[in-house]
Amino acid sequence: MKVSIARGELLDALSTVSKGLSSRTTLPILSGIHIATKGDMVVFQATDLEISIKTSCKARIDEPGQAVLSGRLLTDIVRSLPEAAVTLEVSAGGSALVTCGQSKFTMKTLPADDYPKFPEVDPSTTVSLPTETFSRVVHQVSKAVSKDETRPILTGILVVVDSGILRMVATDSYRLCVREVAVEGMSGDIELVIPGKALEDVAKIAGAAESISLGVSENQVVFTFGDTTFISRRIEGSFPNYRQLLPKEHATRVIIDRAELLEAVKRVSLMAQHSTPLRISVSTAEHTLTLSAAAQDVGEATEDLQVTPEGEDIEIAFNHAYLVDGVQVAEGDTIALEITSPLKPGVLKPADGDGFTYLLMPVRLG
Amino acid sequence: MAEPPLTWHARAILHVDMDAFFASVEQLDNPEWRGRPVIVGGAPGGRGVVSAASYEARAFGVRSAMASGQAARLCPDAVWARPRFDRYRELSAEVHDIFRSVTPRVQQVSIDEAYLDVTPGAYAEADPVALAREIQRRVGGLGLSCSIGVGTSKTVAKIASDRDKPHGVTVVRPGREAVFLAVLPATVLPGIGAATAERLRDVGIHTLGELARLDATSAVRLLGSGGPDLVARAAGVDPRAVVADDTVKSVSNEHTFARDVRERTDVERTLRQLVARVAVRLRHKGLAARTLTVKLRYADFTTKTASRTLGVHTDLEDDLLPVALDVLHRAWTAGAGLRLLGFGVSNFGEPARQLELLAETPEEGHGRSRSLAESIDAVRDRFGDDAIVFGHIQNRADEEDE
Repeated sequence: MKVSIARGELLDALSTVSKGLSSRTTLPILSGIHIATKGDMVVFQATDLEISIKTSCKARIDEPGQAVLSGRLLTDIVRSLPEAAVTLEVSAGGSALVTCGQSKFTMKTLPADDYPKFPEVDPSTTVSLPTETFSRVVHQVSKAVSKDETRPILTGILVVVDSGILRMVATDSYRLCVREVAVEGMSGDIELVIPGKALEDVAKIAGAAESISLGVSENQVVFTFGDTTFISRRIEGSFPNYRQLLPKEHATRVIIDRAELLEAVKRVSLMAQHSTPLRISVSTAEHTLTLSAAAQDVGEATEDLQVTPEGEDIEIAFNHAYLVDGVQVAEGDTIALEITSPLKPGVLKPADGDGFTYLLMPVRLG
Repeated sequence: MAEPPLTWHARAILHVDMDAFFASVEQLDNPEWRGRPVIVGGAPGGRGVVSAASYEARAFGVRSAMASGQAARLCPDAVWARPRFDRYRELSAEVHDIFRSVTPRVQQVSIDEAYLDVTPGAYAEADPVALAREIQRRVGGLGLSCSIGVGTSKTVAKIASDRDKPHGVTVVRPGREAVFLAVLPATVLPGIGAATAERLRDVGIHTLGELARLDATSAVRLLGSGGPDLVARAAGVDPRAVVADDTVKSVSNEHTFARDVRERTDVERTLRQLVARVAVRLRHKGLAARTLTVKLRYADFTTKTASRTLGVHTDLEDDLLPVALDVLHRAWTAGAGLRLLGFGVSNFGEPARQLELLAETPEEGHGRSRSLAESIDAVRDRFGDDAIVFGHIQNRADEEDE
């Protein structure tokens, strides 16, 4: 195989499929990117057996063929090269030559015949989503995805498309984020749980494409955008019934400028290192929301914000990182914080309008 | 220039005792209660007891630790307040700040009582009596009242502070200790309770002056091994220093094995015991820790420690034990002989717990751990550490007895 590809396009293709490289050392072949010619295109593939990614780019094909090259090394090499044509030449002897201008690299290849076949997915339903909307929603809910592998269902995001509404829900059992958005012209109904990491990866690499098509089969989900196909397994099991977790009433509601709250929470969090809780106390008489944190042997921080509280005076404590996450991704410039009691979840939502709910469980003190 | 005649040339210790502290705080926060008898404690309907009584209530004979029902009969018109310990601690901390501005040597004995070393030239500059009056004035500024004893030792200062309550300053100048104490009943000396006083009366000792003349042999016979110290204190001799409250940095416990142990079950059982003891001490001190350290000393005396930091502060063995066991097993391979095992915790903070959305009943699991731990603590406080133990620890004790 001998192909020449513009450095920029090659790097884009390699970066895209690199998301699928396996970090497991038990199967060395999975650390490689499969490269093959197809007509006047070069097709790149990577898989860790949970997700599989395929993309392609135009190339000058001097000699068709296929090869598997160390994904990390090849990507690092191409990233370091100047903007020019990169030639990739694979000899029968199991080594590859990468040249660009005056630079030459030879690297060992991995046996291409051992590479897993790219999965064939035959989706029963397909919906198309604007990339921008998709990526924003994923970004918002992914903060609440669990990293705890012992409860696999929580490492996923519930994705629902129903009557023109896209809804994503994630919870790590400490917080819960629900985002709903109407998408014009979207048709089809789906409901499935997709690994959070896969959705985040798609959101990252699909940036340039206008829209993403999402096809669902019995066990897998396939995303297609531009020249790229991204396949992930679905997560089996039933997602927690999040609706019953959403508080129906509240004792205190505080309307607050989101940017102002975020800055203040971040400042006070400096004193809430590790898991020292961040306390919030609301005074309706003083029209204040006071944030404070005290770390033993370190010091204390407190900040008063002028707010418009409704309801009762209340005190509650949260994990500062969970609060920062919520305020950071909340929808709207002005948000509402709703509190029921110091032992019940607090809720962040847009001050007016809906479509975004971030629930976080408090830290019980003492 | 000649020195003023009354310069204090000796150690100077203040004992500051807040006057009817809890009740005073309630009267401070509820101005309409001032001048009225106020009782802090469980309401008389139940089986509560009196935590504190204002001076107005004391006039009716109401005392701390009295059954609430009895207090209500003595003083039917009293205002009853439920204790608000957070508020008391808050004001106690403010009072403590005043002390700390006077001297670095402050030993807080309880929420409403402290010793201060104000020895001129050593820890303070001003005259001790002037300092006592200043403290009283500044405590008054918080809306509270205290009584202060000024003396050359803790014993003298403590006894003096109780002579003129409320709002008194009692000064026992250097050299006047024995005279001051001699006429007082022996029961004012801390350590002489009702039973001891009775034994002393049997041998004709009623006052501290009489106690001060007791010989060492009789002192041990009548008062036990601490007798000679009590006799010295009755004469005003008490060298004990005011020990500034150093913040506790860690709580730990170690066990040296009678012979090297290699078995996993033996080592785990000992670790369980150590963890349980450390957790009890944490709860007693009102501390919660995040960092756990397991210490291992091998047969060849090499020592190794391994630590882990938790997500939250805790004072419960249920939280500490699984992590401690994991740390142990990462640091130690069964079969390697151990001569010592230690367990300690540090990195203190507020006991806090991240609540969960998806737990069946969010509080249930943890609530049970806490109430179990507290019940066990209560049994141990009353009947001793061995009164109640877990089965997995008990087994070992039985085997050792065999």
